[in-house]
Amino acid sequence: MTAKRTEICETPAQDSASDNAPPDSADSHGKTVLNVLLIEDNPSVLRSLVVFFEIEDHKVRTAVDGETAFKRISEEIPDIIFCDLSLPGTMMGWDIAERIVREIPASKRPLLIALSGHIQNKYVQRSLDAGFDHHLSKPTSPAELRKCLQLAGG
Amino acid sequence: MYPKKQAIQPSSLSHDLKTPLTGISMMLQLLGEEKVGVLNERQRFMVAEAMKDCSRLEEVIHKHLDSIIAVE
Repeated sequence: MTAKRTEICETPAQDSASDNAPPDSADSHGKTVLNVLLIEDNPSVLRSLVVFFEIEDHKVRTAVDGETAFKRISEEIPDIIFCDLSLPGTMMGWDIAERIVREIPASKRPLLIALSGHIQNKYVQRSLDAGFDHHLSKPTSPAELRKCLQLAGG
Repeated sequence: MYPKKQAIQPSSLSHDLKTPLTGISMMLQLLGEEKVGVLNERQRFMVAEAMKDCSRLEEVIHKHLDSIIAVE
C-alpha cells in the first residue's frame, strides 16, 4: 500500500460528527464497543469487513443499499458508518451522506467514512462536500479502519 | 446480429479490480496480524507472499489504470 492511497483525508472542522460525545458502552476489557453500520453491496468486501469489526469486538450491522441503510439507522443511530459509494438502487454513497447530514442533528450524527476505489481528488472532494468525515480508498487496511474507529471513540 | 460490445472504461475496470482485492487483502492482513490464531512459520510465509502479490496487483492497477483516469 502506498502512503498516497492509504492516508485518511481530513475534512474541514465545521459541523463535524467528531464533536459528538463518545459512546458509553464497553466490553469486559473496558474497551468501547462501537455500533458500526457497514453499507456495502459487494459480498466479499462485506464479509471481510464484518470479520474485521467482529475481531475488533465491535457491534456491526450491514446494509447493501441506501434504503436498507436508512432502515438500520431508524432502528438505531450507529456511532460510525462505513459506506461504499457505488451502490445499487437510487442512492449512491454521496446521497446517503447528504441525507444523513440533512436529517440527523450534528450532536447525534455518526462519523461518516466513505469507502471507494476512486482515489482521484475530485471524488475525495465530492465525498467531503457530501458530508463524509473521511474518504478511504480501497483496498483499505486494518490500520486505516482502526484510526477511524478511534476517531469515533473506539 | 450480436450487440456491439461496449468499450470498458478504465474507471470501471479499476473499480471492478479493486473491489475484490479489498476483500482478499483484508483477509490476508487479518491472518498476518494473527488476530484469529497464531501462524506457523510456513503459514506466515505463505500469507506474507500472498500479501506481496496483492500489493503488486494494487501497484499495477494504480500505475496503468488510475494514471489513465487521471489524464482523462
